[in-house]
Amino acid sequence: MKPIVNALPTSQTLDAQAFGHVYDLYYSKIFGYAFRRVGDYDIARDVAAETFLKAFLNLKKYRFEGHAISAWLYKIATNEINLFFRNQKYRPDLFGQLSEDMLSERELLTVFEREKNETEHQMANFEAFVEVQRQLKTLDIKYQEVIALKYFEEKSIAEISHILDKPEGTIKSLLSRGLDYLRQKCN
Amino acid sequence: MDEFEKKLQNLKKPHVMTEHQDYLKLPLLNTRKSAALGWWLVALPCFLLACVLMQLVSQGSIRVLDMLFNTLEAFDRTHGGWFSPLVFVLFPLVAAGMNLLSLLNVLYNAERRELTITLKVRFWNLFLILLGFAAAFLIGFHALLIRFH
Repeated sequence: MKPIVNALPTSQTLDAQAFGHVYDLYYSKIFGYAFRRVGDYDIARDVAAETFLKAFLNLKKYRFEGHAISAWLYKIATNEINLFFRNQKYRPDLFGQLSEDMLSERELLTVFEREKNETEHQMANFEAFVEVQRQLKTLDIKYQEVIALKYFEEKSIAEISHILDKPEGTIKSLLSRGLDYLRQKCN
Repeated sequence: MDEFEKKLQNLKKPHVMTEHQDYLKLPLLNTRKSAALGWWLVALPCFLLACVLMQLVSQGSIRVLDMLFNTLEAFDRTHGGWFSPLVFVLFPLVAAGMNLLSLLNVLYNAERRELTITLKVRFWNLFLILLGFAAAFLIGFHALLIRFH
């Protein structure tokens, strides 16, 4: 995280150019996080695009306060994923604001289709993960997010605390209870 | 740490490589500019339209508005008279057109010789389209009435 943090302006709002670098550095990570949480290529793509659109449109609100910018992006993505889990008809509005011409380009649709097929094919090699993910999705969202951030994204308690904006003690307790529930489900 | 936690920690996780982000980057970085431009194109003529209405209601007793319209009139006289039609009619029309294009999707199926036109229902875009056309129509109509009166 350090080199990325150092590359960004401190104590200032990010400008569009700096945001372009952030996008390049973090898009795959955020997409991966969304995919490991929801297990669906299309939804993960919507969540990632929506996360970066919301971040970009709210750049002025972002103040660099010593936390990694990744925490801010993970926080937006987590909220988007929670919206999806609370409402299965999740339809991100900002994603629709992207040019219709651009989205209907045959080349891009081919890329989407290819990536989706590759992803689904790849998941056959992760049976154990898919099973844990399936059971995790049956838990309350507050447990899902801490477990996913800790074990899927390998974040520390302090990082999860920044992302979810909750004290470290609360995170530890949610993690402990969530693991108990998940253990019961998996057994 | 028990066996279950160890299992979770050593879980083999999928890492998906994607390319689609390269296609989304530019439109994403232009979203804010387009949205801001769309608002300004409608906001400016609407503000001036509100000024016209206020002046009519107050029967010309608001000095600031008098000064504003005198300045606009003087600017138009010295610059060939293009400024007011541009701001009052063309800007709202462009704004309405831009918003309309963002909602329209036209698909032509050559095999079946079918043209499918779909219009997305998005409140703010539809509001701006109506506002843009209404502002251009009302101001244009008002200007024509004055000219031929």
